[in-house]
Amino acid sequence: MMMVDLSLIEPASFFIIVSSVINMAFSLALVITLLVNFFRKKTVGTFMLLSSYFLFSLTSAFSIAYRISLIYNEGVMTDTIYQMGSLTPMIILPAFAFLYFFGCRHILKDNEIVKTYLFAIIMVIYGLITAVIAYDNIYTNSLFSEPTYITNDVFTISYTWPILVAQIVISIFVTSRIGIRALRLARKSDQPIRKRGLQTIGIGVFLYLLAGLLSAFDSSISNLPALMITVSAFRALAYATAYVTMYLGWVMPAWYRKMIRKKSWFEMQYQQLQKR
Amino acid sequence: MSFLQRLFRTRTKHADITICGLDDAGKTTILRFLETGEFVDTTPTMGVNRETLHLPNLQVNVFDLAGQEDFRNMWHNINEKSDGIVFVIDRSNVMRFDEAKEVFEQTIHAQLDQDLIILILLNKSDEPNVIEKSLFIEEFNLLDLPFKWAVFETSAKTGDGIFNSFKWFVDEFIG
Ligand SMILES: Nc1nc2c(ncn2[C@@H]2O[C@H](COP(=O)(O)OP(=O)(O)OP(=O)(O)O)[C@@H](O)[C@H]2O)c(=O)[nH]1
Ligand SMILES: [Mg+2]
Repeated sequence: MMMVDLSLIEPASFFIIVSSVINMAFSLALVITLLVNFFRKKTVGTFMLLSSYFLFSLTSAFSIAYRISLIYNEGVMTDTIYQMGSLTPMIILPAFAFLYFFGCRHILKDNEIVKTYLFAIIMVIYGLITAVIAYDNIYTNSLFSEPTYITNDVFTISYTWPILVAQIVISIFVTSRIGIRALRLARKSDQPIRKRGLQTIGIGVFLYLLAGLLSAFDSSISNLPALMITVSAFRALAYATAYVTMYLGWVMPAWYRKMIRKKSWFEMQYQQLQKR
Repeated sequence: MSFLQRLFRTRTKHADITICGLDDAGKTTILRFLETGEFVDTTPTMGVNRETLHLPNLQVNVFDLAGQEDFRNMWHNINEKSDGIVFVIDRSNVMRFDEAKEVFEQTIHAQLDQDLIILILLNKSDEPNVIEKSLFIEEFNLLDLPFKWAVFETSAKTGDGIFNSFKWFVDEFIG
C-alpha cells in the first residue's frame, strides 16, 4: 500500500471538495431539468445532452468521493480509491463525445466524413488512455498517486501529461467550436428568441470551458494553498454560472422566453393606452 | 373598483380567436400588422399561422387560417375551440361578396358557443370603390345575428382601424 502525504493535500483539498460539491449540485440540477425535458420531448438531442452532463456530474462525484475517502483513510491509498481516481478520464471523453454529437444535431454543420473521422480520433485516444490506465491499474499503480496531481474534475490533471493534454485539446476543440458557432448563428438570426438562446448557449459553453481550465490550473498549483483556494472559489463560481447559463440556453424555460420575446406592436399600443 | 373585484381581476384569462375569411382578404397581412405595426408583404397561407398576444390579465392565441376553398373545410376544427372569430372581408372586391357572405354564414352557423364574439373587418379601406359599412351590415343581415358583434373599417396597408378594432375585441374578453 502506498501513503500519500496528507499535510500536502488536506488544506487545499477541503476547498476543492467544497468547490466540487457546488459544481456537482449545479450540474445535477441541469441534468434533472434536462431529464424532465427529455420525458416531455423524447428527442435524441436532449438525450445526448443529458448523457453528456450526467457524465460530467459523475466526474465531480468521483472527485469528491476520491478526496474524501483518501482523507478518511488517512492518506492510505487503497486499490479502490486508486481506481476511483483513475475513472475520471475514462468518463470525460465520452461526455465530450456526447456533447459533440449533440452539437452536430443543432449547431455544428459537420458532414458525415468529418464526424466519422473525429469520432474515430476520439475513440483511438480513448482506447489509448484506457490501455494506459488499465496497464497502470494492474501493474504499476503510479500514475495517480502523486499528491500534487490529485485533483479530479472535468479537466483533472491526476494522470500523466499525454492523457491530460488529450483531454484538454478535445474539450477545447469541442466546446469552443460549439461556442463560436452558436455565437455566429446568433448574429445571423433575426428571430429574437433563437438569437438570444444561441447567445446564451455560446456564453455558457465558454464559461464552462473557463471553469474547466481553472480546474486544470488549480491542480498544478496545489503547493500554493492560498492561490489554490482563490482559484477554487473562482472555479466554483464559473461552474455555477456556466450551468445556470447553459440551462437557460439549452432548456429555454418559459419565463426566459417570455423575457426575451419582443413585444408586438399591438401589445405595446395596448399597454401605452392603459398607462394613460 | 372594490378590493374584491380587483383581486379577481388579476387572474390571467385565456382566449383563442381565429381569423377567417376568403383568400386574399388580408387576414395574414392584418396579423403581421398586429405584430410589427407596419404593412408586410405576405404569401397565401397554406396551413395556420399562430400568434400569441400577452396583454395585462389576458393571453390571446390568434389563429390565422388559410382562406382558399380547399382549406375551408378544416376551419371548423379550430373554430370549435375558439372564443371569438375575426371575419375579414375585402371590401373592394364586389365580385366576391356573395361568396364571402356564404362562407360567413356557414362559419357562423357552425358555432354553438352562445358567448362567441364576432369581429368583422371591412379590410382594404384604402382602395377606391369600396362597399359602404351600412350597406354591408344590411347585406349580411348582421342585425339578426344572435351573437355579440361589431364591424370596423380597416386597412392593413395604412393601419387604419387595426388597433381600434382589436382593442374592442380584446376588451370584450377582459370584460
Ligand atoms: N390595398 C390593400 N391591400 C391589402 C390590404 N390587406 C392585405 N392586402 C393585400 O392583399 C393580398 C392578400 O393578403 P393576405 O394577408 O396574404 O391574404 P389572406 O387573407 O391571408 O389570404 P389567404 O392566406 O390565402 O387566406 C396581399 O397582396 C396584401 O398585400 C389592405 O388593407 N389594403
Ligand atoms: Mg393568409
